[in-house]
Amino acid sequence: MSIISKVLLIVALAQLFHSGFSSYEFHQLKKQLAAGSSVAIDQISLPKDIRLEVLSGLILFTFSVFMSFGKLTYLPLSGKPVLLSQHEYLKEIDMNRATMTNNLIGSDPYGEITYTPNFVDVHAKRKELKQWLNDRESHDKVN
Amino acid sequence: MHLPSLLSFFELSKENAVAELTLDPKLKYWVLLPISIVMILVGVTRQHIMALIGLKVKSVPRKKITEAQYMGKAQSLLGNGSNLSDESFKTRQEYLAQILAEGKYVAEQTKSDEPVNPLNDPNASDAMMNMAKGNLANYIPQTLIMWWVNHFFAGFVLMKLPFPLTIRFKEMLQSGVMTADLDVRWVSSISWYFISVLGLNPLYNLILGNNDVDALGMAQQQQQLGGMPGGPAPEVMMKNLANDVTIAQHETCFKGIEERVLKLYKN
Amino acid sequence: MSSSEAFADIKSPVSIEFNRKVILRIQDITSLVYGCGAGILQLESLQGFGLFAISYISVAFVFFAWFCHFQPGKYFQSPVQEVLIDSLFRELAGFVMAWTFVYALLG
Repeated sequence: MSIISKVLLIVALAQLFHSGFSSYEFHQLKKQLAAGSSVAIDQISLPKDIRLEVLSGLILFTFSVFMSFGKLTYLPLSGKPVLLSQHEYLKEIDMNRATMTNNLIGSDPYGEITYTPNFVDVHAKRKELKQWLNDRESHDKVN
Repeated sequence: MHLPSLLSFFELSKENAVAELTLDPKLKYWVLLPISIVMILVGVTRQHIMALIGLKVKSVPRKKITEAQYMGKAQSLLGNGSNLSDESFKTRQEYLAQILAEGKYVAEQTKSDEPVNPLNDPNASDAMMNMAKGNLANYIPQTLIMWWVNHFFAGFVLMKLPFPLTIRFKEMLQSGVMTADLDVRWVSSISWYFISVLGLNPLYNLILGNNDVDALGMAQQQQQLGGMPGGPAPEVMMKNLANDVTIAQHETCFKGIEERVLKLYKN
Repeated sequence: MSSSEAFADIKSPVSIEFNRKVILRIQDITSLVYGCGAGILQLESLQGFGLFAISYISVAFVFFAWFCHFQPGKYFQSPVQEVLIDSLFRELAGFVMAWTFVYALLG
């Protein structure tokens, strides 16, 4: 996607530069003619090919700009590093939709509030684990 | 300043009757381009200078932060209390009402009723200093460039505007050109300065990227600072908050939440 | 229930800011380049502003069609205000600057 955009950008810029230079030469010539001769100079306007070149340059440039924004892709925070996409160029503003992206990549933007390991009673947990291990050993012995 | 001046050959064209001047082409390369480049570079430099002088971690005494955060806590309970179940709302309500009413976390007891001079407060003066610096960083380069343009590139016609203007602009845009009858579309270099001042914003956005993260951080810091100078005393605010918390009506959002969630994600 | 409506339309500030930046960037770059185009064509007065109006509106239209899939309400709180009106004078000034610059360079 972005390669097409870059190619278009180069073509558009080349067209704009070329038409700009052509237009510059045309206007220089027009001025010199106006100085020297009695031709009705004001009736001569910019040649059609230059105008068309400018227009095509502008339109190609617009498309290149739009194409330079690819569909948004995300890397998941855990699991296989595959690019995920929701086939969207923009992000939806409704909160219930916006959180879907976070769910997709496994990100928790409010983690600093909800992730509270310092509230965990480690001693109680260890005791519980020890209890469980003991239970299992005794269970194993019985079997 | 020795710069190529305009040649004087007038010609009335038939249609729009604008006097045609022939300008020295060197004007474009030695006046138009330098002004544009300088303006862009000054914009870039200003951005960086702003980043340098604006980057300062503010320190607030811990007591002040505690005070501000307890008030913030009460406010968020009032605002977002419906996210809590009835039981936990009641616990918080009782606790906060009590704490705030007795003013346990008021940072400093104000002795008298006289308002404190905001200039004496170091934090307030800091904020004002930052504001002043921001303003200076905006105005000094502008004034400098304007002086530079007026001083070095005055007294000649630089370019022709592609659109007509009313005669009122003549004095401003043709300053230093002593021609009474010249069309307003022929303007001197100061008008290019004005046009670029107005029109450079999109260009800055493109070449500088965006620094909205900084803006966000600054907003957070400002919030942390708490009460602005001249506001009501924190004790009074706490008392008011305590009253508000005490009389707050509670309506939990957990009522019928299953149906609502299903409805929300139905489509 | 009152709170159900209140929570149904909570907006995500991150997304709003992101979308605003995308449209601002598109409009900035297109208005500058269309200004250059107007300068190359040596357009004068109303023709130039006409080109600006056409380009501004058509860029907004392409944006709505291509990026918003004709549902701008999903991506902007008030689409017309945010896309068309908020940045109008900024883009007009950029356009006029580029137009004047190229017009003077070529003319």
